[in-house]
Amino acid sequence: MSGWSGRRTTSLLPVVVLIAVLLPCAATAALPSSAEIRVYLDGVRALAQEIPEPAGDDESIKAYLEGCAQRAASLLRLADAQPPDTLAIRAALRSLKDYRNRQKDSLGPLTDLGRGLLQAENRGHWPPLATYLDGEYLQYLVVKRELLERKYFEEDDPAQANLLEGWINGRFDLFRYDEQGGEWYRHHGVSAWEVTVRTEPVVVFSDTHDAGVLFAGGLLYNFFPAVTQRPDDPYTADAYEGFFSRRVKRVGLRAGAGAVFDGEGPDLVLGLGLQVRAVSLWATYQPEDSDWSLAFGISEWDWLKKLRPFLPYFGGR
Amino acid sequence: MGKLVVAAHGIGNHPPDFATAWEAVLRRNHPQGEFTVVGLWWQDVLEKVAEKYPLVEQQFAAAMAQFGFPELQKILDSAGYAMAREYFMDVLVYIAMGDMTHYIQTEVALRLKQLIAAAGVRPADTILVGHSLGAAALPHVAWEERDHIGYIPYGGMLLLASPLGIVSPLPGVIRDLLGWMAGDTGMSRNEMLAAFAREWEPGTLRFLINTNDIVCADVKLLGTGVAQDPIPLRQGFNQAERTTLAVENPGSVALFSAGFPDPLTLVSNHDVSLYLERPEFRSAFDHLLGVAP
Repeated sequence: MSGWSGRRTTSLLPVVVLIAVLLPCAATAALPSSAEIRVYLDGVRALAQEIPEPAGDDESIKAYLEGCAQRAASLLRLADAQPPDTLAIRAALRSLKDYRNRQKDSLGPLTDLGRGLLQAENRGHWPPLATYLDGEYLQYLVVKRELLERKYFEEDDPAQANLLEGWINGRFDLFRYDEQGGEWYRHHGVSAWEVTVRTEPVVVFSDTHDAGVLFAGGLLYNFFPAVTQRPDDPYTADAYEGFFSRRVKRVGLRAGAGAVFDGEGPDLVLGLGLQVRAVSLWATYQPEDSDWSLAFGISEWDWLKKLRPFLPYFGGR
Repeated sequence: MGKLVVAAHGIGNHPPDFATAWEAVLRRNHPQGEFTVVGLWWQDVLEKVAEKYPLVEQQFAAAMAQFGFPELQKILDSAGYAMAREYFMDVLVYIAMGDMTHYIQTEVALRLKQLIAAAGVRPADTILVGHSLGAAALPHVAWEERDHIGYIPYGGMLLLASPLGIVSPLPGVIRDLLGWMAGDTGMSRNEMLAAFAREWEPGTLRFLINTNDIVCADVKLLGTGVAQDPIPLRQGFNQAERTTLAVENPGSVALFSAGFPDPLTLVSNHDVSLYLERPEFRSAFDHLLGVAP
């Protein structure tokens, strides 16, 4: 791991204690004051009033500013309430931000006046409120990096796959990152499902320990730890491991075809496998001999160094 | 300390202190400016992904060779493949694998945040300067931040030889760099450019495009007498896209012609020092430093 990133792993047990400590902290995280919200609201209302009636070509920017003002007024009511509902205030702030983003993306053509008003709202009035979202953004980055690192670069994972595998995992909904995805198998948007498309060395459990290689596809499920931002280092993640995330890490089914080398040249072999971490147990079938066998496979080719005595075709005896 | 200048390199080999060379040019050409230069080095991230996801696994080639088909192994061992890997794998790993694009951008975003925090400046006092693929990663990171905090907080962005204009021939298979920014919003390239340009105050966003640089322009190379575009893709912004940028953020596109449309000068036409020395860059940078209108 580079010096830039970091993680600390601990067992799951302290998580309960940590959550008990952090929840009140989250509830009291910095939020905009009524005065700050009022400044934004007044500023946006003033901008909207600069648009003459009828708005004509400035209709979209007028609607945008009025929409911002409407949501800011709701945010202000929440901030003024006693006692203030901090979770509701934070949700309303996020909602205002999301509204602004959506509307800014669909404003259509703007006049010079419209562009000026947008600039004034976006870079003049909004930034003081946006500072209250900075912490969430940093937390999002730290957690996302940790989970993607865990899924794709964890030590049990082979150091080398191929572009096809990377493309599949980044292309299809079941596997790819989706920040908005709320499916049960996603952790902060990172899917636990992963496809593998790799070549893999195998050793057949037989008297001769025939070695072979399979080109195999697989569907794996990753067990992720609970990941949070470290309280004492906001650029680093804490990973709280459970039994499955620490010991099992990933399981899945494989299917492949390849060849075994029995000393007389390669023979076709087909296989179905069960993978746990980097190890696969294969049921292999050799059509030439109509022979079923069990085989052991390892998806990390570096392990070949340890298996070389059994692998004459890869530099062994 | 004045402004913080964060420099982001592009493809190819760059040492961690690559920004020292950039700073030397900036100090020489902008002696009146008060600024600090730091390098956003991210080559290690690109390499990490490139090593994990090569076009073909070395082991697969080795296995094929064992089967009696050594050709693939020979290709992977060739100098041509090494050169292609050097220049094109960075781009491929950055954009072809969606989750890796997320991973790289997240790492770059975190490094950017750490650099700014370490310098003790506000993002508004930070000028981002990206070259080549770095000039695609920076807009990506800034846009991602906008999605989360509602605006782009940086003081300025100068994009040298940005490949953001490249059009994917198969957008359903590999999104182009601009399409990646639009994500699932359904925005067209023009709409995306308009939205991005509107996020910046006039004079704080500048695309610098050398029309003889094949990374950011459709160069017709003078080879055997007939000018030919050697790359069957559109690399540069088209006229409509440049107009969009110019309308939404006047002055945000600076086209110039430096070097020659010659295959022998392709590398030098893309060199970062060429861009840093240009008067178009100097005026844009001086404006961001506050020493020129």
